[in-house]
Amino acid sequence: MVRFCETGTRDVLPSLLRLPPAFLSATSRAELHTIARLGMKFWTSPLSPISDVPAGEDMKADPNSTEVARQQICSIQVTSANGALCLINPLFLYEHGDGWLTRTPLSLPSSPNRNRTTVSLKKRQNIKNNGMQEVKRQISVDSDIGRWNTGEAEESLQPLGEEEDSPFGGSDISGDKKQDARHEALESHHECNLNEEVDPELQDLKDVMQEPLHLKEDPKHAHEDRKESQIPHRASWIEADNHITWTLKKSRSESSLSSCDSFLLPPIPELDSLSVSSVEDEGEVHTVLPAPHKKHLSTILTEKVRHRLSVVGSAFGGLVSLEKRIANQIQDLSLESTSYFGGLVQSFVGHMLKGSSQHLTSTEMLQEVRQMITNLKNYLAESSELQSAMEHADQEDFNLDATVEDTLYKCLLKPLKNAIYSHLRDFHTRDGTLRKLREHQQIMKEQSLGDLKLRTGVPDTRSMEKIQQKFSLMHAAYSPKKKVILLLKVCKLIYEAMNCSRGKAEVYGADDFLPVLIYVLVGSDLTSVQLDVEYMMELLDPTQLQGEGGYYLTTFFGALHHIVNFQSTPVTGQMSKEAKRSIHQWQRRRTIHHSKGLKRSTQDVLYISFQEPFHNEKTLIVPTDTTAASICALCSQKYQTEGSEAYGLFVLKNSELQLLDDDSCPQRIKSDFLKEGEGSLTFLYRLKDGKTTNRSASLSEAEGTRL
Amino acid sequence: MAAGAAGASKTYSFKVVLLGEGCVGKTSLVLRYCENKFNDKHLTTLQASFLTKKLNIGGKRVNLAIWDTAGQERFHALGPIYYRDSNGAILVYDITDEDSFQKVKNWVKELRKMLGNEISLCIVGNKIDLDKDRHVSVQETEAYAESVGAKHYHTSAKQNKGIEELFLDLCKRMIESAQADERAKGNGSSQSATARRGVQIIDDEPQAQSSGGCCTSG
Repeated sequence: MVRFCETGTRDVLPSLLRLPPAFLSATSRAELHTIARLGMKFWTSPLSPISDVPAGEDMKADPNSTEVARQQICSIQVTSANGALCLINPLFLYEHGDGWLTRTPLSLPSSPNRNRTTVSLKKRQNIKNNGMQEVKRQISVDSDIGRWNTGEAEESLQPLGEEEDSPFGGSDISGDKKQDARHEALESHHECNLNEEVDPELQDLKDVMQEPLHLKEDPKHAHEDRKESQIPHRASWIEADNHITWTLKKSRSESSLSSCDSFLLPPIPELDSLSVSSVEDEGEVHTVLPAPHKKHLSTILTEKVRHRLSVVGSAFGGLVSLEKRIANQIQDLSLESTSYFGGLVQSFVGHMLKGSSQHLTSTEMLQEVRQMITNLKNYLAESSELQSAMEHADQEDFNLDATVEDTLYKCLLKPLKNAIYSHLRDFHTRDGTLRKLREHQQIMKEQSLGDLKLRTGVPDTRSMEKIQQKFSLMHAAYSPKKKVILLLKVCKLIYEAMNCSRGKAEVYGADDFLPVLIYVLVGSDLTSVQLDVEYMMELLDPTQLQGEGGYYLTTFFGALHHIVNFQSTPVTGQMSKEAKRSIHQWQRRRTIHHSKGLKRSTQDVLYISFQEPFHNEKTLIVPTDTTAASICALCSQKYQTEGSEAYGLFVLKNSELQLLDDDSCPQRIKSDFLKEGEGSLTFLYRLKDGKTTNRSASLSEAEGTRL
Repeated sequence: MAAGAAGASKTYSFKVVLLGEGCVGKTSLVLRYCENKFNDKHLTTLQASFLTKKLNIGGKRVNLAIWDTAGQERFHALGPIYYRDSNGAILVYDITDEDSFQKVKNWVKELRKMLGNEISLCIVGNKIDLDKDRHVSVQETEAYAESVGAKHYHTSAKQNKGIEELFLDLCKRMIESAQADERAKGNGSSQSATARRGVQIIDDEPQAQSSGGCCTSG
């Protein structure tokens, strides 16, 4: 924090910073160490001042400043309101005074949004000569958001409900008198909302939304901004204990996502936290915002102040700078169209946006994108461009692969997301999936809970609203990884609801979860979820498909599959055509992505049974060109048969037993068969006289068409 | 992939799918097995649909990812999306319920048809604490298991019987199978994969559960 202040940043902080009393009351070094060891847990520990800060004991962080300076310039104070840190830049106060901060929001310019650009411009010119360039950047990004907004207007999501205000109200539970005073200035409906701020889940919401509740493009709402008294804090630090690990991880990944500080500046994260990315992230979230709630949206601060807050959080999160540096470097590269990497990125993005490549299926299109990400990643791993940054990679405990992956999402998927979705929509409108989904959704909505044979509770209206919010955010995100995180949050909400209504804690498995998930999906915007699931499945790093995220993504895929094929699903043991197709698609996906680097081969392996299927099976290594005759020779050795002429190599293909010619090549037969992908194939080494033993006959009968 | 020095040992990552009719005790079985383990994934304490377990078998490290499936008949068609890429399958029936054993037979057929012999199968008769109500004959089930190249186990999730053994045995078989694959790969001239399941070679330990494959330390 001190460093933050010293670097002379232009970040403006929205409220007083106070040192937690635990620090002040510590009398010895040892005590301080104890507190320090608590780390993040400090905020949830009894030492945390959230509940017991006596107002007026605020400690200025800079004890050397004079009283006057404190009031006018150096209002840098540490506050622990709700556990969040807020920092205020002296320079901002120098220009604007800090009366607005502690007294009434009305002392702010009446239309902060409109003034924002000019204010920042002026300030920047005072501070730095190249400020102009940055402002330009920011403006262009803003208009970009506007475009995004209109582009996604049709996907605009349902009203978020009253909880929407809570992320703002949330910061008011501290006992700070100044904040209380501000409360009084608020309209009463706002206060109502403040009172219900307890739900920890909303912390999650805040975390993800990142101060989404203002629409700076919309001037008619600017005047309402004054109503807002508080700044939403980033909540990623202060989630409940059991979330800490997860949260830490998340904030790291976020920081790597939000890591494209101005390219014009040296990549020191603290230097300028006016991150383009945080503006962009906000742009993403904008699409989620419902119009009816705009009247609540207000702020006493300029927009960029808030943008910075998120980055301040990251800067304190530690371990950020290396990731940032690498991410910045990759992004820089991607913008240089003269570099090999940048050329690839830009031409690919251009090519996709023009829609010049014709894809037969949505899967093909997405796989092309995924392939590009993988290729670029491989290129970066081998090229010299990132060498300097990577030299340090081993020293710190961080995942280079994940950083590169995240940055590539940003380079490729961010610009392409809308185009990809519109293609996906086209594909599935044409193939009828979306129509089927809608139709079956209607039918299934009319089913009673009894028809669904649910053993557990289902989410009530309030939980459903929360779930819809998560779905909205999931749809808005461009990063497949971020989408999966939100998908997992939905799953968590569902499990909670399953337990909640039964009033006891039970651990549920898939038997119970899947039906409830289907129930939830039927009550949701199925089209978006369908497109999102496909987007994630194809664009996620394939290694991610094996973990928890992969499991639940698969379950979503299964639930959607069930809805699409509802009614038409025959209640027999037979697999539907779709199921067969889906397994082949999965197979294809894996082989595409794993063909490089993570190789293994069963191509040369041949399983041979002796006399009967699955009996005394041997695994042989048989190159493609090996003939049946040489395999027979091998088998007679392996099985130590006497009179090897009497034995021959047979293929049992879909119940049809056939002796192979000496010069045929079993591996070819196998690979041809695999291409067809239907039925089963077994190789047998058995007596040629064709007598089927009783056992194999009965087995064949029992197995039906299997063999 | 993961940053870090190349360790001498490698880690096998296996995906195991849990199949069987609803109410045969799949969830209890796997919960019993994994109950002492809480990983830091945020859903774990709430759910038993996806569980992981780390093992060390004779010096070989194994990461198990256990995928539960919904056993209701109406969800049967979803089987393939769960069992694709699996290294092992645990097929659970209830010894007091004849139908649930028939269901297991259907799964065996389908698995052999779709995945051939690349998947290690375990047929599990659960609820042996209710042996007095047994409706499925021990002889029949064991003979059936042998005939299809599967292993048969008897367990009681309630009394915690036979479960450790089941998983340990399955892991050993999956390791063997993985080593056979690895040898095959070493001997084979071609590297291209017509692989039916996603076996991967992993140096040292990447992120937990990041991969569904296996490798050999040989």
